[in-house]
Amino acid sequence: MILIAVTLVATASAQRRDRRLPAAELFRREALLRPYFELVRAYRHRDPSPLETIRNASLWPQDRLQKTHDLLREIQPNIYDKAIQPVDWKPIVLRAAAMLHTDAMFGSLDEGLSITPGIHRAMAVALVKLLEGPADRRFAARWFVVTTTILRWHNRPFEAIAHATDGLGQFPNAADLLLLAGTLHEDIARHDFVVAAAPMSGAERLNEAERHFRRSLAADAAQEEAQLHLGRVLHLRGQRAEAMERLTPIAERSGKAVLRYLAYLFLGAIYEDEAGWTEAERCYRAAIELQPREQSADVALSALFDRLGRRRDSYDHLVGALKNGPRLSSDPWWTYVFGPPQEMLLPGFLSLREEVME
Amino acid sequence: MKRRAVALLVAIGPAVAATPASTQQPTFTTRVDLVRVDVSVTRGRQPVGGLRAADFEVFDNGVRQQIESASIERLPLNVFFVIDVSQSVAGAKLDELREAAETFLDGLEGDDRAGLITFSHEVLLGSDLTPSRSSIAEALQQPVASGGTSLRDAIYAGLALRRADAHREVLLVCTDGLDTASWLTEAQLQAAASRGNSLLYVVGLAPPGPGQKRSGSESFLAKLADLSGGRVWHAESSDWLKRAFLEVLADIRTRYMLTYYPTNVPLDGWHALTVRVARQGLIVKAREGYYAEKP
Repeated sequence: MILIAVTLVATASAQRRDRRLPAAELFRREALLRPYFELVRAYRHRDPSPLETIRNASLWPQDRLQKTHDLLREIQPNIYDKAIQPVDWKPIVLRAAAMLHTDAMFGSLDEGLSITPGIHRAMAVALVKLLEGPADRRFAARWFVVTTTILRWHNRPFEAIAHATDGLGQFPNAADLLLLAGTLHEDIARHDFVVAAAPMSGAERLNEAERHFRRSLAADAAQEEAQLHLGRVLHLRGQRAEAMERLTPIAERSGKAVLRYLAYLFLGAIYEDEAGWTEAERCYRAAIELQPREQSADVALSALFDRLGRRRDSYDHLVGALKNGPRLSSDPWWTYVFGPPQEMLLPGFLSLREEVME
Repeated sequence: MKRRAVALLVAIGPAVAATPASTQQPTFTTRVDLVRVDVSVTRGRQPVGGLRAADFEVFDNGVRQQIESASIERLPLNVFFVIDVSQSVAGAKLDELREAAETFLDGLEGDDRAGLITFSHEVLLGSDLTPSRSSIAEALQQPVASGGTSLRDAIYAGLALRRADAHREVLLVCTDGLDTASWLTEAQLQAAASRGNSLLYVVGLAPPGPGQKRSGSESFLAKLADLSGGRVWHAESSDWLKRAFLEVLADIRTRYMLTYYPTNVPLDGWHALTVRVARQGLIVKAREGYYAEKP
C-alpha cells in the first residue's frame, strides 16, 4: 500500500516536471508575449497608444498578430497553469486584451477596412474563450451579445452570425444570444441581394431564424421579443395560425408599447393575407393609436385602403401621416429592421471596457 | 361599334375634364367605358412621332381591339419627384440631384403640377402637387441626407397621392440604393402600381459596372417601370443626371394616347394589355394592363 502511494506521488511529481517547457520554448513565448502583455497593460491604464499600435500594421504586423494568436491557441488549455506561463496572465489581463482587440475591430470597421476587423475579432474571441470562472464567464457571455449587436449595427451580417455562432459554442443556452442569432438570419432572409451572395436560401435562413427563436424561448420562455420575432417569422413561413397565437398576447398584454405596436402591425399583415380586412384595419389602427407619430402602420393602413378601393381614405390617411415628420423618435419597425440605435449599444460596450481598466 | 351600356370603373383613362386650379380637391374614381392607353414609342432613346391609329395594334386580354384614336397628347402633368435622401447620396450627389430636378422643373409648363416626396428610412411629403415651381425648388433644399432606404414605401406614397383628373400621372423616382427599411413588400407595391394609372420613370444613380450583376432592387424597379409603361435610366455621371431628367421629360411629352372601347372581354378583373407598332426597330412601352371593376 505504501509502495503504491509512493509510486503515485513520484508519478505526479514527474508529470509536473514534464510540464515545464524547455528554456528555448519559454524564451520564444516570452519574447512574443511580453511586448503584447505590455501593450495590454498600457491599455488598461487608458493609454491610447496601444490601440494605435495594434491597429498599425507597420508597428504591429499582422503576421506577428497571427503568431500571437497561434501561441494563445496553443497554450489555451493550460492558460491558468503558472508552470508554463510566460507572463502573468491574470483573467483581468485576458479580458483587457480582448477589449483592446474589440476596440481595434470596431475602429477598423468604422474606417471601412475589410480584412483587419476579422483578425482582431479572431484574437478577441480566442482571448475570451480562455476565460474561466463564473465572473469571467458572465463577462464573456455579455461580451458576445454586445459585440454581435454592434457587428449587426455595422451592417456586417455574416461576421455577426459567425460571431454569434462562436458565442453559442461557448454558451449554447444563452437566450439573448440565441435571439440575436435568429434575428440575424431573419435580417438576411429579408434581403434578396444578401441572400444571393450567401450559401443559404432565404427559406433556409427563415428556418434557421425560427430554430434559434424556439431555442431562445426554451431557455427563457418569458422573452417577449423572441416571441414577437418567432410570430413574424412563422407568418413569413406561412404558418399563420401559430403566428397569431404568438403575436396576439403580445399585442394585447405586453407592457412595452413598442412590442405591442409591432405585434399589431404583424397581425394586420396576417389578417390581410387571410382577407380579413376588418380585422387588419383594426390591428393597424390599434398600432397607430399606440404610436401616433410613427409611420409604418400608417403606410400599412393606407395601402390596405388602396387595396380595397377606398382611394379617398387611402389618400387622406397618407397625407396626414407623411406630414407628421421628420420624427424625433424611431419607428419601431425601423428598430426591428436595423436593431437598436448606436446610442443604445454604446453603454453596454463602454461598461465592458470600463471593467478592464485599472 | 357597340358601346357598353354599363360603365366600367377603370383604373386607366379618366374621362372627367380637368380643372387646373391648384386648390382643387382630388377626385378618385371615374366611371368610363373608354379605355385610354398611354404609349411611348422610341427608336433607341429618340421619340418617334407621326404615327397614326392604323400603325398600332392593341390587344386587351389577347383580343384585338378597334383603336378609336391615336395622338401625341400634351396632357398637363402631375409629376411626383420621389427622391432618395438616404446616407448614400450625402454630399455632391444630393446637390446634383437637386440641380437635375430643378432643370426638370424649368421644363414644366402651364397647367403642369409637381410634388415632392423624399425618403431615407422615413418617407416625407416635401410638397403635395402644386403648380408653383418655386415651392418645389424650395422644398428640394430642405432634406439632409442620412439614414436607411424605404424605397418601396416612398413609391407607394407617390402612387397613393395620385389624382384621378385629366393630368398625366408621373412618378419620377431617383435612387442609388437598395431598399433596407420599407414596410411594404414588392408584391404589395406591384399590386398598387397595377391598380393605378401612374407612369413610373426611374433614374438610377448607381449604374451597374461592367460585368456587375444588377441588384434585386434595380431589377424590381425595372419590372415596376415596365408594368406602368415607364422607363429606367442609369445616370452614369453627374452630367448624365441632368440629361436623364430632360430625356424623361421629353419622353413624357411625346407619348401617344390610344383610346378604344373594350369588346369581347369580361367587364371586370385584370385586363392584360399588349400594344404593338407594325414597324421594324421601334420600342413600344405601355402599361402591362389594368384592373376594371363592375360599378
